[in-house]
Amino acid sequence: MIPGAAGAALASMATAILLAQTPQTTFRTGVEVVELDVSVTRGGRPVPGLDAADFALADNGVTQDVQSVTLDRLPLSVVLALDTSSSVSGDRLIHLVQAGQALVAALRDGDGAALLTFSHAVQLRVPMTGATGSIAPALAGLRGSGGTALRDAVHLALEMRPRDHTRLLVLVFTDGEDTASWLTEDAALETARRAGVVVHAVTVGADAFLTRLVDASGGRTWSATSDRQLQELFTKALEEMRARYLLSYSPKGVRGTGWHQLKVRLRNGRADITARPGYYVP
Amino acid sequence: MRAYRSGGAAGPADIVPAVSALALWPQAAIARAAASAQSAFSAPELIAAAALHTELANVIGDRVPGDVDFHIETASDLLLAARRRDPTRADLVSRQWYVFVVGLYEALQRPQDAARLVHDGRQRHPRAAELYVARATVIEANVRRSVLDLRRDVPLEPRTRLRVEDAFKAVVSDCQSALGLDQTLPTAYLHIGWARLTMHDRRAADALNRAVEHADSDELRYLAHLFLGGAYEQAHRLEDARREYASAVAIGPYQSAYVALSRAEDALGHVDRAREVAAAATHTAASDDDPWWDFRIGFDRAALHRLRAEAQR
Repeated sequence: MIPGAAGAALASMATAILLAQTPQTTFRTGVEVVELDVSVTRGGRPVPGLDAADFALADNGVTQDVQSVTLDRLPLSVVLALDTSSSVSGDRLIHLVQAGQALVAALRDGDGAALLTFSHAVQLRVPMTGATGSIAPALAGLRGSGGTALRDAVHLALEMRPRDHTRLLVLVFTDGEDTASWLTEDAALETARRAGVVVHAVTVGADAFLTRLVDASGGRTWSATSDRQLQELFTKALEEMRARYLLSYSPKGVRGTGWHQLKVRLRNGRADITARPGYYVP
Repeated sequence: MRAYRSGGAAGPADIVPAVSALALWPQAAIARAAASAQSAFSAPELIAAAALHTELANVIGDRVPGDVDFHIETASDLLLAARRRDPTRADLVSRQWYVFVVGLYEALQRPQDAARLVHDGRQRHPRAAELYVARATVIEANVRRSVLDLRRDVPLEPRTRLRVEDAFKAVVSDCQSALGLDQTLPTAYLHIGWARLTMHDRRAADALNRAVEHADSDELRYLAHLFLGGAYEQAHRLEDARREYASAVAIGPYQSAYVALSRAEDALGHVDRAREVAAAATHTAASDDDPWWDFRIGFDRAALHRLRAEAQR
């Protein structure tokens, strides 16, 4: 990064983009209804056909009645949070743009998407919109430069959760270590725990923070061994989200405020279950 | 040089016309002009010419490293010539010039040049408080090279932690020496506060409150409030942290303070406010002069502004 460049007078200024008024979160914890995204797989493949009676759920150790289970019916809101630091250039950038465009093309009517990029600065390129056709040209215009403010970007992406009844997926792509964030790891993870939003991460190379982040949010990490894999992994992340069950229950017998630890399992049969480890009631 | 002293159409801060004009000059012509200026120019003119070469070195940055060195050396020669005319004024400027150039080389990831400039500066100005702080910033930059991301704030491997602690002790020691010479030097308080914040030392807030009290530029005041917010967060004083982050936002609406404020509001359970502030953060993303980003790479924009102001005086 070129420091200063004689101050703002010589710096090229990108266009400021207004964040559209997104509706309030769907995740209502006011101890009325808790909604929980759950991935159920066996041998790496989604397990279909489950209903409420198949799930056993404990909230702070107290067994709860799962009232409803929905699969693949609610529309998705996807925030693409993409690393555009200086290491993302050339072939990597080309494959990243193609991966983003493929994901947007796979969205359905009623789904929404937003595009947020981060180098040392975080930029909202396209606010959450149902007109997802506007994402592709924005992707095509991306250029890589600068440092990496991954944790700050994750916080801002999570604060974009919509207030409607769509399910939010934050899909983060990065290829390097954080070099520019103000927020600490614990601060960004606390945002994730409070937000109750599923975060999936696609990485080139390992990142300890992202591993902790997806664990805290009930998401998954996909590590690309080559840039050519990005499109496949972005699409897998979307498919994984669609294959998730959304469990709803009204908490009973548990204290209202504070951190609620959640445990989910199948009553009969074994499976790998991925869900966020709990939720927070302010 | 005259265009630089008066500024461009947008006022004294508009240095683009002067810097652009100088950038077109071939080095041989600049060398000839600088040699004749040393005998023909007054001290204020020589200082302005030195500052102009420094501005150009900053603008061309890491794109043409050889040219950076040429303009820095030319500026150094011009300041020496100014010293022969008016030692008091030239020394004041020269001290600021060293502070800025050390930061420039750090930002360009040229630590040996930064260390050399600190050494030269301290030889020329042995009792300059700000050059003790400049030496502290070189130590901080060495830490950054071994631990890329201190703000990550996760436990370090024991040997690395010892190394970092030793380095930050040296930072604090240099800054305390600076305060022995000038007890109101805000950068000394800021760097003591930063070192203590990073090492989770409760005394960070004391130093940072002093930095707020003595800050002589918006950049410094912004960083002091931002770091003070961080110190209060560490002490679980979230309301105080929120207040400091809001003060930083009020000084300069840069992204780092917005992100910090949004996160503090979220932690306090002010969900809607956290979202509003986060939205505002993405408004500011186009700006590339967040003092936090400068601080992370060792770049001292306030020193450049002081140098410019002195040249245009």
